[in-house]
Amino acid sequence: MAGVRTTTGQGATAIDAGPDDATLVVRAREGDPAAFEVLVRRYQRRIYQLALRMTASTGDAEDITQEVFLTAWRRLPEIRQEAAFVGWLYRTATNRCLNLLRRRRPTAELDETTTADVSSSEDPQRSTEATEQLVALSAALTTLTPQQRAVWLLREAHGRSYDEIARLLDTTPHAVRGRLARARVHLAEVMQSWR
Amino acid sequence: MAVNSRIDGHPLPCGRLVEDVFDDVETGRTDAHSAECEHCATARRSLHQLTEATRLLVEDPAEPPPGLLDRVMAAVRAELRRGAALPLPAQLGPAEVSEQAVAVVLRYAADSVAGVWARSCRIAAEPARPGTVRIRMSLSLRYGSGPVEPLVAEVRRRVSTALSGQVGLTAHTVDLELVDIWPYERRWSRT
Repeated sequence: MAGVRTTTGQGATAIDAGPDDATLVVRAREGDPAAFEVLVRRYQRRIYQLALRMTASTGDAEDITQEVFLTAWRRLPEIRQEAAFVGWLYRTATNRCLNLLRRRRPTAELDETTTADVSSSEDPQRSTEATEQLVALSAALTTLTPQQRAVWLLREAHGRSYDEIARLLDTTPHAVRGRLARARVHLAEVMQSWR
Repeated sequence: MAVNSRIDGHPLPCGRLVEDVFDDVETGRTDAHSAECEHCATARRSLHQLTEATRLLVEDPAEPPPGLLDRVMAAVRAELRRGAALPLPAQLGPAEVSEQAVAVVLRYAADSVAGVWARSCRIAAEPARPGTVRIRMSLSLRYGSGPVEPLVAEVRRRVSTALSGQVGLTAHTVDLELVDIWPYERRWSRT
């Protein structure tokens, strides 16, 4: 059929060209799992990366990502602001990460697998220096408090707005800016000392 | 706040705060001290280094494990709520089709009109007329796709055709509602 656009095409381009989030959320809510699959394909990478850099553990990141999307599926009937789906994912993922870190002993924070993961997924084009920088930053992130880490990642790595981050962490945009500034100084210092 | 108390202002050996040096870098401000002070220069270098590493993290090479999507979708399908069933006109005995399955067919037909995405699609049997249903569908339209009326008429035609041709039911009414208009270049994902 001429002019038919598929909604479940392979690759990022086809997914980007698919329906908007609000349309997919409504379809999924009415029992169309294919629509939900497009949403998972669209956002699983970002949510996984946030969880990985928050928890410094590939296993925890995987569990959290899986739980976030399953919870999203179950809560679809309650999501009234369909276009705000991605914000809902970020909120749920961040809260789950913070809960996990609260339960975890502080000494268990740095997981060897994160470092391994960064090097194993290394692009041949990616220089060793770049990989080392990323490893150093990931490690430096674990020396922040979980709240500061969340603020820094959501803002600097995921481009979420100050307002959204403030709502998400139940604080004010002003406090978010303060935490971000402190996190930045701390990260710069830690990375500098390892050079 | 207690959470942040262990990381406060960071004074450099020259007396300036690292926070202030970073602010100066961002606002492009400079003065006689910072131009000559090696401590300030070191702080600036550390910020540049962090900025560079941050750029690498924005394009994080870490990928979710390949089985993750399948596991999520298997659980989703296992929990799929069974929707309403619509009676089909049948010669040899009763037959029915799920509303969800018909909705997928009808949305696909509506999506085939360029610039249109079908959103909600509800189908209800017309009890007085066997084999006949009433369709309520909401549409999201790309801005600049042309006059709305012919587009909507085309959606109605294709939806009715798909219903009779692919499902075997007849549309009594096709109620279409335009609920959203999106700009042509809008992108849905940052990644």
